[in-house]
Amino acid sequence: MDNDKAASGGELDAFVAEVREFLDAAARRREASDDDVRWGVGSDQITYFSDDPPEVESAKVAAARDWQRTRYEAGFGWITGPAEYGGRGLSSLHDIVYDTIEHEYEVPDTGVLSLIGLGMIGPTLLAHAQEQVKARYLPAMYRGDVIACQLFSEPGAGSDLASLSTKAVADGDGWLLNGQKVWTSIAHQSEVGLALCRTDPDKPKHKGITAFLVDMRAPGVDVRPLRQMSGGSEFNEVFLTDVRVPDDHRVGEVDGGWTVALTTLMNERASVGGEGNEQASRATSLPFLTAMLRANGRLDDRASRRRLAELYADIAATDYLNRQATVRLHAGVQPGPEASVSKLMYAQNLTRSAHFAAEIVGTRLLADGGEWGTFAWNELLLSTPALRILGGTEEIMKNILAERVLGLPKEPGIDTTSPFRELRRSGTGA
Amino acid sequence: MARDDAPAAVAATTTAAATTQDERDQLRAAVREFAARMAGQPEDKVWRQLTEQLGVTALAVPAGYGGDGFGFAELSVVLEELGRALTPGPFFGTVVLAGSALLCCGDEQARSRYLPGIATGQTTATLAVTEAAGRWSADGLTTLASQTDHGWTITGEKCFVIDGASAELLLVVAGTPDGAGLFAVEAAGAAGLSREPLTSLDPSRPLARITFAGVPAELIGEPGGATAVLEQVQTRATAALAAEQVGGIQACLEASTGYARERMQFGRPIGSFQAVKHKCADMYARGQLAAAAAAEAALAIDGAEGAPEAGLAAAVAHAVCSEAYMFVAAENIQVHGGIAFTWEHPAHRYFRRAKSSQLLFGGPGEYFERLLLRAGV
Amino acid sequence: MTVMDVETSQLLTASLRALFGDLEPGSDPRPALAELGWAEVRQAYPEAATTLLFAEQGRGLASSALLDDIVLAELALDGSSARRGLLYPTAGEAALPDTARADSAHPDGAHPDGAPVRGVLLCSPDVLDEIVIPFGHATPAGAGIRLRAVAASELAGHARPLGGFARDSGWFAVEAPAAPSGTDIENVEPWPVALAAGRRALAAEIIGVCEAALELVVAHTSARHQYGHPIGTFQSVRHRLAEAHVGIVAAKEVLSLAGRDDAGAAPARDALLAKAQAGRAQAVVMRHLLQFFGAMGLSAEASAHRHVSRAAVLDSLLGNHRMLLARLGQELLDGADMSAPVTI
Repeated sequence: MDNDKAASGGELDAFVAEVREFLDAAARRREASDDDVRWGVGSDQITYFSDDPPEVESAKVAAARDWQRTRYEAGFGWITGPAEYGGRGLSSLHDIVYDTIEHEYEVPDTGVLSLIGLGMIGPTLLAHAQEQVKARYLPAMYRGDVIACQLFSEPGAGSDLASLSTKAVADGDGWLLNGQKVWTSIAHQSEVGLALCRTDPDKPKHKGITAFLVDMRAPGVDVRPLRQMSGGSEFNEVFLTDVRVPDDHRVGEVDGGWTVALTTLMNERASVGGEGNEQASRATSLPFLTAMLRANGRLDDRASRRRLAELYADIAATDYLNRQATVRLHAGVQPGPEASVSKLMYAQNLTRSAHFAAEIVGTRLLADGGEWGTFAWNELLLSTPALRILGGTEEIMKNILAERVLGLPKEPGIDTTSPFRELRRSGTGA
Repeated sequence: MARDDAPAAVAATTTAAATTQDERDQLRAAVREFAARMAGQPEDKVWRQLTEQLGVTALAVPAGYGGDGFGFAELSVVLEELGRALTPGPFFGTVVLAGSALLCCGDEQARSRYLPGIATGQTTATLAVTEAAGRWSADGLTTLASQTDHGWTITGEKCFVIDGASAELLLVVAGTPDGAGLFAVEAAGAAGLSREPLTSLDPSRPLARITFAGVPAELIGEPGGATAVLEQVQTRATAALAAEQVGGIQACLEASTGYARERMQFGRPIGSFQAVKHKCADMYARGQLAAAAAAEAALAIDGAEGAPEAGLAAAVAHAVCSEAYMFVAAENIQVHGGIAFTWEHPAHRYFRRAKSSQLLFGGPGEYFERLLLRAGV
Repeated sequence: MTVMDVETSQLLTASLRALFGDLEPGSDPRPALAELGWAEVRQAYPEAATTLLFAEQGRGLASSALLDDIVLAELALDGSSARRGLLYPTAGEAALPDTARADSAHPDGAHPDGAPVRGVLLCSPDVLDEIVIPFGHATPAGAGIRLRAVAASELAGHARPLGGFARDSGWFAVEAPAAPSGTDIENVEPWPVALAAGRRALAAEIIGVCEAALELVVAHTSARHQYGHPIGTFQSVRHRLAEAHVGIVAAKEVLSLAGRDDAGAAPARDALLAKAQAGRAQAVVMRHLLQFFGAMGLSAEASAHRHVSRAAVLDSLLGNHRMLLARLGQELLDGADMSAPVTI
C-alpha cells in the first residue's frame, strides 16, 4: 500500500521526503525477494514467542536501543510527542506514515522498547506524571536509553486488575512498596516500571490505587523469569520488598491510579498479537501454507484444500478489516471497536493455522526428524494459546464488546462499591 | 427501447461516479425508510415504488443507458438495506444478475436494447444458468442453442432460476457448437416457453423451472463467449450477494441484542447471562468480518486504490459472508429460544435467506475451492 | 466374557492410582505391576483390565512402554525372554492411505517397505534386546504385513530422545536409512487385531489424561476468584467445561463399545473410531484447560501444559484423530458396511 502517494498536502510530502532521505542513508531497503516464500530455505522457526538464549536476547535489545537512538537523533524518535520532551509534535498520521515507510527497510525490531514502553507507558507519563519525572525520563525513553515495563498484573489480579493488592505505604517523603507482580515482559531489561499499588484498602477497589514509576534497579526489586510452556522466557515475576519510591515518582493523584491505568490500557492497540510478529506471520501467509501442503503431497487432497480455504477466507477478511481501519485512520476517523475484533481474529487465525499445520504434518510433529517445516510447528502450537489470554482474555474482550458496543447488561453481582478490604479473593477463605 | 440522447457507443466500463459518505448515508436512510414502510405490502406495489420513487434500479447502470452511473459502493448500500429488510422483489435478478451479464457481455447492441428498461424498472429480468444438477457453470450444459435460418432457438431446461417465472427478460446460458453462449429471450408470448414456479426453502427468493422447446432467442456477444462473461458476472453477483448478506446479518444481530436486553428470565435480562452475551459478541465479530469482506469486494470492483484483485476479493466475500450469515441467522434463533421457532417470528425467514444465499452459487462445496483457485492455489 | 464388578474395578483403580502416583517419572511400571499380580488380573478380565491400566497411566501422566505389551501380546511375540519393543511408524502419514502405492504407509499403520525406517520407540533401545518393525507392502492380493525382529543394538545408533510435545515421555525417535536385517515373519494375520488393541489402550489413556485435566480445571475455576466470584460461576467458563465433559463421556462410550467381547462386525474399525473420538475429546478438553487456567497456565511450572502435551503425544501415536477419521471416510466411500454399533 503506497501511503506516501495517498497522503495529501505539501507538508506531508516534505515529511515523507525527509523520512526517505533518513532511511536511505541509515538502512538497507528490503528486497522484494526477502518476502518470498522459499520453502526449505533458511530457518523454519515459526513461533509466536521467541526462545532466544540470553546473549542473543541482549544483543537484540542493544541493537534495538541503537536504532531507536539513531531515529531519535534524526528527529523520528517520538513523532507525536511534544517538542519539550524530545518529540516532533506531529500527528498520528505522520506516525503511521513513518512506520509504513520504515517497513520497506531492514531495521532492527524495536518492539522491546516500543510495544510497552514507548507505546503505552510514554503516553501515560506524558498525561499523568509530575514535571520532573517527565523531563527526566521521556526523552531518555524515546532515545532508547531507558526501557520501561508495566507492573500491573498480579497472581490474584489478572482479568480483575482492580483487585490488585501490592501495597504502597507512605514513608517519610516517599513510599514503601511491597508485593508481587507477574507477566511482566522484558522486566529484566528495563530501567523503570510503572507499578499500580493499593494505597487505601478501605475505599472501593478502583478508588484506592496509586501509580508509581519504579526504578527497576532499586534495592528490593527482584526480577525472576517465568518459563513458558512453549519453552522460552519472555515474561517475569517481579517481587517488590520494601522498595522505596520518592513521592515525585508518583504518577497521577494519590488514589487516582485507576485513571492512570486506563490511559495505559487504552494505548494497548496492537501490543499483544497483531502486525509485530514477522516470524509468526508466515503461519498466516497463503503462499507459505500452500507450500506446506505441496511439500506434504496434500495439495490435491480435497479435504486439505477445503480446510486451507476456510482458514484463508478468514485470514483474508481480517487483512481487509485491518486495511480498511488503516484507511479510516488516515482520514482522521477515530478507531472503533473493530480493533478488538481484529485481535480476536488474529488469535483465532494463528491458532487455527497452527492446528492445520499440525494435522498436515501429522506424527512428524512429535520428533525432530530434521525435516524442514515439520517439527518447527511445535513452537507455534505451544505458544498460540497465549494469544487468547494475554493482553485481555477472549472472554473479557467478548464481555466488553457485548456490553459497550452492543449495549447488553453488565455482569450481575459484580461489586464495585464495597471497600477493597471486604472483597472475596482467591485463597482468602471459602 | 432506444434512447434518443445516448451516445452511439458507450463503454461498459465507464468509470463510476463517486459519492461522499454523507450521500451514501442519505441513500441508506432513504432505502431503509422505504423498506420499513413497505413491509408486508404486495410485491408488485413494492417494485413499482422502488423503481419509480427511489429509482434505485438506475443506480449502477451507466449514464449512457439511462442510468445514474454509480458504482458498486452505492449499489451495495441498496443491497444491504434490502437484505436487512428481506424486501421481496426482482431487484437481485434484474439489476445484479441480468444487469451484470449485460454490462459484461461486450455486446453494445444488447446493452443499448435492454439496459435502459432495467434502469427505469420497466423491464424485470434474470439470468438462467443452473440446470437440474444445480451447478452454476457454463460447462456441461444440457440446454442447447441451435442456429436456424430464422435465428437461434433454445431447447432444454433451466432450474432454480431466480424470478424465473416472473421475469420479462430471460438471459439464458446455452451450449452451442462453439461453446456456451449468452442469449436473450423476451418471455411474453415466446413460443415453446413454459415456466413453473418451484416450491422453495426461501419464499423471499422465488425460483422457477423453465422449459425451452425451440424458443426463439437473440444471441448476445459471441458463441462461446459466455464462459468469460459468467466468470465476471460471478464476481459481481457474489459481491452483490455479500452486501445483501451483510444487511441480513445486521438485522439478525439487532434482533438478538434487542431481545437479549428485554427478555427477562431468572429475574434478569437474558443478555446479562454470559452465554448469551458472548454469543452476541461472536455474532458481532463475525458480522464485522463479513462487512469488511463485502466492502473490500465492492472497493475492488470499483477499482479503488490499494484494493485486491476483484475476483479474489469477491470470492473471499462470498465465502466469509455466506458462512457468517448462516452462523448469525442460526444463533439468532438460539438467542430467541422457542419463539423463534414459530412461523410468525421473522427469525426463520432470515435463516432461510441465509441458507438459500449460501447455496446460490453452489454452496461451500464449491465456493471454498473456487476461492483457492482465484488465489492461485 | 467376564464382566468386572464394580467393587473389583474400584479396588484395582485405587491400586493402580497409587502405583502410578508412587512411580518415579520415566521408570518402568512393570515390576510394580507384577507385584500387584497384574498378569492374573489381565487373564481374568482381558479388556477391562487393560482399559483400567491405561486410564490410570493417563491420569498419572506417566509414560512407559506398556503399550508394547498389549500390541506384542496380540502378535504372540511377548512370550520369549528377549525384551522386545515395537517401532511405531511415523513416516508417510502425510499421504492418504493408498494400498496401491508401494511407497506409502500401509493403511493399517505399518512402515513402508524399502524406505528409510522412521518411528517411535517407547523406551531406549539400550534396555531392549529386539526391536520389532512392522512393514507394510502392496501385493497383488492386497496389502500385506511383514514383521521383522532386529537386534536393538542395530538401531541404537539411530535413536535419540523425542523433543517438542513429547520431551518428557522418555520415548525415542528412530531414523535409519534402511532397515537392518533380522528375522522376518510374513503375512502377519493378527496385525489388525494388534493394532486395534493398541488403539483401544491409547484411547483409554487419552481419556485418563482428559479426566485428570478436567478435574484440575474444575478445581481451579472453583478456587480462582476474579470480580469477587469464582470464575467457574461465569457462564462462558462453565458451559465450556460442560462441553469438555460431554466429549469425554462420549469417548468413553465409544471405547466401551469397541472393547466388548461380542465384538461387532468390525472390531478394527470400532477401535479406530474409539481412538479418533478420544483424540477429538482431548482437543476440546485441552483447549479449554489452557484457556481457563489463564496466563498462569501458560507457565512451565503449572501442570496444565503437561496434560496438553501428553494428550497430543498420545493422539499422535497410531494415527492422530484427523488421520483416522479421514481413513474412516475413505472406507465409507469404498463401500464398507457401516452397521451401527448399537441398535436402538
